[in-house]
Amino acid sequence: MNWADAFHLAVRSVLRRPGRAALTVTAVALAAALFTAMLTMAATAQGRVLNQLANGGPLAGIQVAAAAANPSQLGSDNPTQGAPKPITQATRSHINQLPGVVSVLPIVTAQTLVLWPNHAVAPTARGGPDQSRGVVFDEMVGIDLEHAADLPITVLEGHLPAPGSLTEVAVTPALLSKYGIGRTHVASALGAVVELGAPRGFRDPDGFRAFRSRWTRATIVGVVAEEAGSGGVLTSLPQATASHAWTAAGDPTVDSDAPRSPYAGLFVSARGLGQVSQVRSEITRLGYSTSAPENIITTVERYVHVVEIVLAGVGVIALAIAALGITNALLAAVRERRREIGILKAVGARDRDVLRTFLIEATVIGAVGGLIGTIVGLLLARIVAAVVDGYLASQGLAGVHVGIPYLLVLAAVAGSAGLSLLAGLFPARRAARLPAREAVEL
Amino acid sequence: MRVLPILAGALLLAACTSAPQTSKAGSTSKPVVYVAVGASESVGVGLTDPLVGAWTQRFYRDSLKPSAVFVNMAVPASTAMQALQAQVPTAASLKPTVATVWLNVNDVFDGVDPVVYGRQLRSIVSTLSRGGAATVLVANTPPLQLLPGYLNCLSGQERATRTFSCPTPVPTATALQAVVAAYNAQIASVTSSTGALLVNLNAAYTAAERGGTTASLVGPDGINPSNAGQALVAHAFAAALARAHSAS
Repeated sequence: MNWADAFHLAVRSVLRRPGRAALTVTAVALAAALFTAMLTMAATAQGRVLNQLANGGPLAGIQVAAAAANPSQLGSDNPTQGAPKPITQATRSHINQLPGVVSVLPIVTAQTLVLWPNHAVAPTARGGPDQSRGVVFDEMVGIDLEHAADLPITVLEGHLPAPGSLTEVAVTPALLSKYGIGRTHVASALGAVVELGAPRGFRDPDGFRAFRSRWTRATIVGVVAEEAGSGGVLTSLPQATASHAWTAAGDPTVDSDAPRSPYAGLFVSARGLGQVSQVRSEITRLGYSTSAPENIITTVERYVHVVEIVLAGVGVIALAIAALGITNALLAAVRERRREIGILKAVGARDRDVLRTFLIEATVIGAVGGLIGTIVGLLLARIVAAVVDGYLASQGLAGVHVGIPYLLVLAAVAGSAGLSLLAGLFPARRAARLPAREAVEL
Repeated sequence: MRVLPILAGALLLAACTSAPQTSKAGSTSKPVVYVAVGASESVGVGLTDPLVGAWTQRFYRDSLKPSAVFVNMAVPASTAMQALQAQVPTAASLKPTVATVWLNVNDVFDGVDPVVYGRQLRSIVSTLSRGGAATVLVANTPPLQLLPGYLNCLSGQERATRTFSCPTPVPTATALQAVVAAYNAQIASVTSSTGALLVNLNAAYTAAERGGTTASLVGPDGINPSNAGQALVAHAFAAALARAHSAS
């Protein structure tokens, strides 16, 4: 008996008892579905948690502040910053050449008055009785918008301003809250035109301090959660650079708080998580304060891995129960087919031919059940993700993305088939050992 | 021979398809830079929301392109001489493409000679104009003899408010009207000789007087414009700019 004959016999045997076969396949499918869904959700949750920790940016991202390093806190993710230390173009070039550095993105911030004509400021955000209606004080964060994906920025509504645009901005929910716009209504700000005034300190001829602003107008095109800088207005780099230059050129005796460093910070991407420590040390050696969520990411990765093991364990237990079901079904089949096995032996079939037939039967049931289960598991994961998405959206947060883990799909199908093969080993060996006389004794 | 029309058509198509690139380049060209030189009226002194209601801010918001940049250099109580020293150098360093100048009320009440004032104004306009690179709009003097603040000074009811002190001695209405006329003659002379645009606030306020709405155009201090006055001034500047654009 060759492999084709054995396969033919096994399939015929499965089809001859469709009810039992369907139940056994269902048991395997349910176990595989549970296994796939749990691991997919665990992987998605891990990605989501880690991205959240990295504030949407690359996990291997390091933020360099325009401040001196604090030598006593080098191991900390968020050390207290030292005295202000300007970041110049030369600093940027130097860091770019450090080993393990993939990219260095500049961040420019500028003080700004935000004037939203015809929109009152929430009473809690008003600076004082003399403050104009619709004006709040905030900070403008300028980034290279062509590389926004590499920065800790998440678009909540709308889109990011066009790279180099001088007339588009994105704002944060924190800024909108100053205008009394809650997280669930941030979309209502899209399309509004705001006026942004970068102040410069002057000493008037009579010696009084005065501020004169450089005003620009911009349309709100997006609402974002961002950690690149501390401001509520996200703009293109040229827009923020011009505003910063205006403020920085002011009289220092009038506005001593005005930022003087050309760059408020740099966002450095290391080649991988393993390189983050080394790159941070190099930057610290240059005298700059850095922060990166490396410690917390490592800790969370460890915890999430434990959760993954537990969930996978639950899935494996389900698969083991399904395998016992296969063993049970095949043992029943062996008992029912003793006569058939005896006849096969009588016409010359060897032990290994019978063994092969039963093993193929078990593997087919396992593979079919595994495939169906994996598909159902992925669908389940997507349904759960959709429900979670709805909840996150209602909270004004970015949703989750469930990818198709091809390796997991392959592993689930192959694992189900392999486990079924093992489960079928005992009944198949029992069938193979049955003597030919079984055909006449029954 | 049929190749030639096809070639010509292809060239025409290529010419048409290259048009968006030109407009793209235009969108990245340097924006309009608007600077305002002036005194308390241009800052919006006396308004509840000066950043919303001042005529300079209105003019910037309503009459210039969305990509325009605006810096208001105006200093309350400034005369032309003070502006020349404290406002104009920074304003000129911004290389403005549009500049507005409303400086005359403090000069009149400080008793600056109209000829001296004319010389200072010419210097301001020439510096801001940078040889015609900027469009400079210059406002003339409103009919100050109609302002409630001046009338209070004249009747002796009030000698000073938070933003305005009565001149000593208080000129008669006829004398003040004559000074205003002398100032406006100087302003007209400066604008015509430098190519600047004259914004005739005197005519706008006089028309309001004929309509009986002058009082509503002036704020609580009796001198600086109210919200309605600021809107009227912004409209006068916008109309002057629009006339210049349509003429060119």
